[in-house]
Amino acid sequence: MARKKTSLEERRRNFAALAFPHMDALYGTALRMTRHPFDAEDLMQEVYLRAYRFFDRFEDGTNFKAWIFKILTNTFINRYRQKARAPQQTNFDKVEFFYTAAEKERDDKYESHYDEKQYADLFGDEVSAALGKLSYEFRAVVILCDIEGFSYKEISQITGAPMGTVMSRLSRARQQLQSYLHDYAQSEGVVKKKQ
Amino acid sequence: MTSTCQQVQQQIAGYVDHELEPAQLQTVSGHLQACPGCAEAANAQKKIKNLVREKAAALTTPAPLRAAIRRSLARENSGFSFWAQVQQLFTLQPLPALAAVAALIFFSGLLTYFAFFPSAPLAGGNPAFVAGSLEGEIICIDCDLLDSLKTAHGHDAAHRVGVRCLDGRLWSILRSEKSETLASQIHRRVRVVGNLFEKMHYVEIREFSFI
Repeated sequence: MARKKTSLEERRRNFAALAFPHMDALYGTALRMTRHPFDAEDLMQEVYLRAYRFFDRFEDGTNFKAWIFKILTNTFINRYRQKARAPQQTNFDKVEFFYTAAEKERDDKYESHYDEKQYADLFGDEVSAALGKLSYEFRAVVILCDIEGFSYKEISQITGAPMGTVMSRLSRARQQLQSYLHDYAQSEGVVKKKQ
Repeated sequence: MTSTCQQVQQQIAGYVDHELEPAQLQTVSGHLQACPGCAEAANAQKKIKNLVREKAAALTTPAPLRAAIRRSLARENSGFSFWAQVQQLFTLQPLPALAAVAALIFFSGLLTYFAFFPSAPLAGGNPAFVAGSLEGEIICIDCDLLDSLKTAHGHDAAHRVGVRCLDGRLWSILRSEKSETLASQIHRRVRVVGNLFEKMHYVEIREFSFI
């Protein structure tokens, strides 16, 4: 068994060299997924700790960005699963998303600090606000594909969903975005104005 | 909308993202040429994709978060460094490391054994103490020594109480309430019962009586 014979300092340096360049991308995704800066920061710290602890399991030469994004996705799901205390759901596309209650509760709690308007400001525009209205599974594929530029194969690795599912989720997610953004999209020329 | 349309709608994302297999691509693009509704849906998706890509603000990690992550990794490093080093030791020097573990287990076993059986004989050796009794004169060991040397003395520390037996042997008395009582009874003859630590010539008094 060929174990890496590296010192701790080396290990820490190797990890930092691989993981720190992706911090902004991870933070952007964390913020868009949690839709709350506090949660995003918590999530980020946990992701980096977990990635560091499991760094031995990362195989050299494979896709580190996809690896650490997978940790982000799993950590996010685990957190919402814990918060919601709901039974584990497997078929995300057919059932109401289990985290919705927890998410709503959290939104209510922080309503005074972050309402929809402020959320839109935070992200800069209506597009990101519309993204925030998508269910988590749909939001994830849109962020990973359109913002982070992952291929379907990578998204499949990150989310654990088959590539066909990734594709159909993206199709439906974009249709939903289109309807959320209808007015805005008209002004941007994405959809034709009805005569 | 036909059933073909429904199938194609599922694959429009793949078409837009250039992720379709050649066979799928042929089917879908063939259908898009023939079906204006699906073609418009594909076009809209392309625009939505571009819109999301363009409008999604590039976010920068806040500096405090960046610092917090670095700190927590540094803590993590020191927190588990011991185990990581142990692990490394086993990888690099498996035999000495195993020997060290074996020695550790052996000595901790030994320690536990004596913690629970302090007076237990080890392989036929002498017990630490035996119960018994002594008869003799109460003395202060220091005064007695100085007297025997015919040296002037007046040592200002408290007397160190002991018993001189008839056979001439001196026994120190372990300090206790009872030994305090005996300290004021120098030169009286006494009979003490208690634990005798024979190697050290100490006696732990359980009871005593003057003769």
